[in-house]
Amino acid sequence: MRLVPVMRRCSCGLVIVGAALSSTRGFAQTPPAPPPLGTTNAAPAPARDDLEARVARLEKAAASKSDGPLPVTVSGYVHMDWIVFRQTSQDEVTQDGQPLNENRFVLRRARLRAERDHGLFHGAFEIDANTIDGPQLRPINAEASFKWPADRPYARTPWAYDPSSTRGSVDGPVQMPRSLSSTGEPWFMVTAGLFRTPFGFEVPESERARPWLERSTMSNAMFPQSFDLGVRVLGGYRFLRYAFGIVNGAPIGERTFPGRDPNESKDLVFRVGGATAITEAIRVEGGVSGVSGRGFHRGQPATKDLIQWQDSNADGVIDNTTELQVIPGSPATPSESFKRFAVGADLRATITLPMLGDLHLRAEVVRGSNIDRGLFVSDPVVATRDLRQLGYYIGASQEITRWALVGVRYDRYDPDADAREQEPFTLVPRDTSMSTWSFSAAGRTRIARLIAQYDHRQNALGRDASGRPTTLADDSFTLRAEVHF
Amino acid sequence: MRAGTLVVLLALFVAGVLLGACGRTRADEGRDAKLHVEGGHFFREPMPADESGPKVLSATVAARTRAGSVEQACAGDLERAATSVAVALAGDVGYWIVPAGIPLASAPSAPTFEVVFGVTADIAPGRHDLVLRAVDSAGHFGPAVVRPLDVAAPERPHGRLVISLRWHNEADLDLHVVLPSGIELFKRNRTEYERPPPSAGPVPPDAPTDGGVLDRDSNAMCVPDGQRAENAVWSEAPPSGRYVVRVDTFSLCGAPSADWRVEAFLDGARIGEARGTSTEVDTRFDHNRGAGVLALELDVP
Repeated sequence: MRLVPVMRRCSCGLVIVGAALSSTRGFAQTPPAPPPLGTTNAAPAPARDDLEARVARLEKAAASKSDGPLPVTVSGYVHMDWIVFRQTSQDEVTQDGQPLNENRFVLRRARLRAERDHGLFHGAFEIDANTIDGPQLRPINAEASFKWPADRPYARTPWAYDPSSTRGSVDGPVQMPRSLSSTGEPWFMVTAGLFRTPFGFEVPESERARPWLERSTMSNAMFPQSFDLGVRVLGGYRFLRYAFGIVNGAPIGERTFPGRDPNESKDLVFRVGGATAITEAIRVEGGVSGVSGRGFHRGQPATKDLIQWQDSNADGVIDNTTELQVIPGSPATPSESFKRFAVGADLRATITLPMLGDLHLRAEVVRGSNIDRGLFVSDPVVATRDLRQLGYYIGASQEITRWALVGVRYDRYDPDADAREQEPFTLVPRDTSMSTWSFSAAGRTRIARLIAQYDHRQNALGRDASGRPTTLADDSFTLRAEVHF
Repeated sequence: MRAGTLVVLLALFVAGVLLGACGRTRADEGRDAKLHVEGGHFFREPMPADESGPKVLSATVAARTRAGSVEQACAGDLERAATSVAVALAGDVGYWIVPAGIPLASAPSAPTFEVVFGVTADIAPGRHDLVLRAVDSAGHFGPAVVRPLDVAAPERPHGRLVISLRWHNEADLDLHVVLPSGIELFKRNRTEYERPPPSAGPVPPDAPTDGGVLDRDSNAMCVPDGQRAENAVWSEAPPSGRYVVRVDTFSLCGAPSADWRVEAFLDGARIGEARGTSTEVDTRFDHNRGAGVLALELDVP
């Protein structure tokens, strides 16, 4: 809701109402006697002064309101999921008491965002509520930006268009120009705060814009929940797009120190690419990205000696000679940091098909080392070797008129390309990769979407009767209701 | 026509994906099985009848265990072709698979196995058969090796009235029993007898000085004693009336929760039973007289 036009309209309206009131009052009174010839048709001097003072007062009040702290742009959306079935779901709890049932209603995210774009400056604050691990309310995006030139709008990443055809921004309702080659990006914009990590295409992509329910496994593992704290510079000139950032390296979805930074080293992240319209109907965007920094291995505090009892003969009585075992204490071990990095490339094309709508094609590949922070957290100190990751996805979505959209995506992620497993006589390579086919279909209106998605997952988390790794069945079917405003 | 072709292709693809989903393993914690194997993968089905696979060459297991015990060990070696070992209690709802390990230097051609298991607290006391079968890389099961496993019944003190509290881990739980007279038996008041105050005058020589007794404070201050049980025992006729039994969670001693079970026996016959789970919330209250959550109310004639 843009408040400035409203205020202006209000002030104009007040002036008109004031004039109308004065006019009405003139009609309501007994018509005065016709003035004598040679005199002007004007109100008496005291009444006119009163009206002029009143109008001036109203105009001043309206002007003072428009110069106040408002206006801000308020937007938001709600993602309400019904996981109709998930094969790994069990009516059980984990060892630490967390439920294993996944067949449930869950508020995946409810976001409320306020922002102001004012000349050289832009500020935004967004909160997120969800019930994924119980009710949670947290800040998810808070940033202050300086941009130049001042008349260019705030640069949103990624720069391409919302495939769900919201035809606007991906984070707010600010409209963006249609042509990719003249997006009106600021030449540069410096941002400090909690923002989307500028890596690749999918990591900074808005959740309300994605044709599929969630990011690919690769992005969730390497950049869990994508928001990180730091400083970022981004911008564009003609077809060129760039972004550089210095961040903590602990995104808010990280599993060890989310939103914090356990070491003094900061991560450097960048993306350089381009976006252009080849023809009126074909638009292409691509880029390369990288991140480099240092991860953290948590040291252990000192432990005391322990006595452990194992009731070997099951008589319920401690046998001092055979059933007591001393576990010696250990001194504290220091924390360590380790090097990690990732490089990636992304490519995206949008082809407008007559009658149907836009066909969006996307692909991205990332190669990393010790960069898994959300799924199988990389700790090369424990593993005594670097853990190499490789992930990619390809996806296509097709608009079916303005009312529907279908999409299919295949993603694959290997958290440890060098994994080995000891079999009785040999040490054999182990494929730890996991892949997902995602089929989605969405019906949509201007402010709402209803999405159905089936995910078919392959992994190496189960074991067959021979003891070898095999897929643990984990397919799921989910319905999502989305409303944005 | 093109759209129709696309739909058919898409349907065939989805059907292929769904067919590909067959034959995969299912997530199953196997919590309702009588046998639990650490790190094993549970299969909710009987072992196959075919015995064309490799054999279990040797298997060693402690012949005696106790209901509710954990960290029992079973180890041995297998024929060369084996890649895993299947373990189950005869008659259980499924079996567990544990990958085979590297051979010992003394038998370099025989894969080894080591199974750490436990049995549930509600398993019937008596003899059970632990079944072990080697499995090869093609999933062929070998002949079964059966080892007897004597599960000892939880020992219960003898008495006219016995109220028992048992739990399954090293947590420090406390039994509280409120007698019809209002006296509360718990760890700081172990006997029903309460010395009369001096103002009450001389005590008659024939006045009872015994009655209900709490036998122990198990795992007191998180020092494990292996009992994980507390009993209130009346060796003679208990007072008639209503008894209130509560369970106080003094500390979970690092465990996330503790499953407990309260039973009451009068002249050997069970007259009441209750089960529950203590969580961190239960530790936050006072642990003195009147503490604990209500487990059972009994009317003793």
